[in-house]
Amino acid sequence: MRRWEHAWLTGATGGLGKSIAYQLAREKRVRQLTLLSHTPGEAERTAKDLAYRYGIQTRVISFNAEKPRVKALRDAARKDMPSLVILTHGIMPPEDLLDPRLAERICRVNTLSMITLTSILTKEGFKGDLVFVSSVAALRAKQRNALYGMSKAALTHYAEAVRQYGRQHGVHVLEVRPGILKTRMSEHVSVPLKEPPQRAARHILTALDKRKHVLYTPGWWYYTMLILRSLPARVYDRMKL
Amino acid sequence: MREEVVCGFSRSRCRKARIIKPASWGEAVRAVREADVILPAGNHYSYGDSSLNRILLDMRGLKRILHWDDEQDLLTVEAGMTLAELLPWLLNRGRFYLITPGTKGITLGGAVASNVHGKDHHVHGSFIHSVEALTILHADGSIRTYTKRDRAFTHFFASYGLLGIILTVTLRVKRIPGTRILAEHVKTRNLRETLRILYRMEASLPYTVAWIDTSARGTALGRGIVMGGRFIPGRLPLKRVKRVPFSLPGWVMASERFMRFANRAYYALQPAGRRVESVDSFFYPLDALRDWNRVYGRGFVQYQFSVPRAHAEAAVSRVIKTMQEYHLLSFVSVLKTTGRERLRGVFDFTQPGVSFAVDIPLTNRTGRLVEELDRIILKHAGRVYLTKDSLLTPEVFKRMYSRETARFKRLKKTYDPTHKLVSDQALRLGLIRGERV
Ligand SMILES: Cc1cc2nc3c(=O)[nH]c(=O)nc-3n(C[C@H](O)[C@H](O)[C@H](O)COP(=O)(O)OP(=O)(O)OC[C@H]3O[C@@H](n4cnc5c(N)ncnc54)[C@H](O)[C@@H]3O)c2cc1C
Ligand SMILES: NC(=O)c1ccc[n+]([C@@H]2O[C@H](COP(=O)([O-])OP(=O)(O)OC[C@H]3O[C@@H](n4cnc5c(N)ncnc54)[C@H](OP(=O)(O)O)[C@@H]3O)[C@@H](O)[C@H]2O)c1
Repeated sequence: MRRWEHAWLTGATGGLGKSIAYQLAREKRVRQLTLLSHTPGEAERTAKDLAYRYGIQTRVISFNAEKPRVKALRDAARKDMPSLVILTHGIMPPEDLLDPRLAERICRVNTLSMITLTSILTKEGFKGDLVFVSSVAALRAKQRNALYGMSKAALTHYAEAVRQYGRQHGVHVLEVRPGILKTRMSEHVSVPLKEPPQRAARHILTALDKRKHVLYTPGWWYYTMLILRSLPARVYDRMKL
Repeated sequence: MREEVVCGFSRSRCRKARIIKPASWGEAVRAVREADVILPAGNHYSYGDSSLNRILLDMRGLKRILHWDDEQDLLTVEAGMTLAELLPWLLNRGRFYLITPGTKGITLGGAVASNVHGKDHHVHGSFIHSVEALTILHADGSIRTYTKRDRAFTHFFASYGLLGIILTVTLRVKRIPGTRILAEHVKTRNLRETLRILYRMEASLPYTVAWIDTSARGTALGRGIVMGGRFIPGRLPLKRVKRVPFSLPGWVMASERFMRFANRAYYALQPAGRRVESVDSFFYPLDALRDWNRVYGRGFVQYQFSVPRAHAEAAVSRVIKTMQEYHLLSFVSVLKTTGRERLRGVFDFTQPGVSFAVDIPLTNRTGRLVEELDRIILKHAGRVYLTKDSLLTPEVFKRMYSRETARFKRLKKTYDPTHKLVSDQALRLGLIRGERV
């Protein structure tokens, strides 16, 4: 089981992020945990709880992925550089394929903010593990959540490139592709096979232990996506997913 | 949001409800703003319909520890935390609840909303006396913190979720020398002796309670086992809970013969004298068997009341006799002295005197028996504990709680003028106008 001195985590007020935070703390995998959140009051309560229950040090940095404050983040990184960074924040609002404003917002949160954080960290000399939470939706488009899929596709693409960059720079990238999680984000999606976020979090930490590069969670999504990706447009477009 | 059948602990009242389980304050606020009616709920350890409504705000997702002051012994926790989950954390720090009921299954929000009491009521009073501050989510979606010094502080105790939603509770906890309890058990021959020994123990021990053999008649009526205890140094671990994986057929539990046998056996087999017990066995004996309420099969009703000390003997003996006349005996029958209190919640049932609680199997005679018990209690200036009630009528309720009801209605106007916070019990008792849907 790997341990880190200090970790940054985004989305800790959400389903997956919270599960990751509690597992990191419970297993004493980190000594210090910094939560980056755009609802700092709520994140502060979780941070306090983690500290009182598990005796780790916690801290909250205000971070709005729609408009990240670069200087504040840079200062924070400079002062206390993490060796593990897990980026789980994301949005999946009700969509309209033809709404460029919404497209911009989704991309800001799901993609551009990830790039901003990566750039700040690497420029300040970050070395360690960097986790991007993308989605299986990145791999093939569906009209229902085209913009979300697009933002995740871009993220997946970017993560792959950072992985290559990282090989020379001491950065190990893990890109996570969850299927459908049992969290607030997919509350309105009614499918039987939702994965509990605790289990996805467990898979992510195990993948870090094994220094994996890409993780499907649950694992069978790998095969599902293999099949879906190989389908010709004529067939795929008519499928109800 | 999900739809489910939910029941009070006695399983005598169940209903379909839509359940919203917030994981953040933001989600709780949104749920309250958007709802036309809603009721906060804890672990449904209230016995009847106090925690039932068409839409429930399940508070159990909010259970973070927010502040701990090791010098002042003050702990701030979110209201969905159960006493059980917090207990190991407290014991590790050499602390224990200043006031705890006879179960650790309840949430802190539920403890406040019913203003619960424990074996130390004669020393500390009800739960309100262990609370320093509350954060309340009001029916309009606003959030405010009230400390003991605020006049409004008491409004959220024993108001059963109807005046505001409790988000956090700041508890005063107590230091204990160890996790062992030196307990004393005295077998008594009749009710007079039971009361005498209870009063005597009360003077020397912080925790006292008596179990009553409801099958004993005549000169032995009201005999039982009086228990008292105090913490002593040394450690004893908490126990793991066992499960009761079955329901007994209702007729077994309802059968007088079985109940008489169970009562007599317990009375005969419990050794008297001193012994060392663990926190679990002394404070939470019923929790040792998880889901024990299921052994009643069809369900049961719990009946708990308080009467002034001068009426104690007459009221309790009349109640036991009446149960015997109806051939409905109780096994979990608890008699406790109750003391004077500085701070009062809205629908507190306690008064200086005694409280008596019994489990009555659910049969077709139960309704009539409870009506008769209500009449006895009224005659003795007593009151029924609402968190255990499922059968009280609006008329009897009004006579037991007339001043409290008038005050409640004024407060309801202030805190929740559109009557958003509603429970089945409040509708049944006529506290809030409307029909149960
Ligand atoms: C085995 C057993 C032993 C017991 N022993 C005792 C005892 O010794 N002394 C005693 O006093 N009681 C005792 N009780 C009763 C129990 O303590 C109360 O019914 C308690 O209120 C249950 O808490 P809960 O968290 O399960 O809440 P629920 O039963 O879910 O709800 C109870 C009430 O609290 C309200 N409520 C719950 N959470 C909130 C919140 N966050 N904000 C506002 N309102 C809220 C609900 O609306 C409802 O009106 C016992 C119960 C059992 C099952
Ligand atoms: N749910 C699924 O089925 C699913 C499937 C595949 C991939 N994923 C991905 O998994 C990740 C975690 O999702 P989840 O299911 O845990 O969803 P979630 O419960 O909705 O959590 C999303 C998190 O992102 C945060 N966030 C949203 N907007 C933000 C902003 N502008 N700035 C900063 N933080 C912001 C949220 O903070 P607040 O709560 O404070 O708003 C929350 O903590 C996401 O990247 C998601 O795309 C999810």
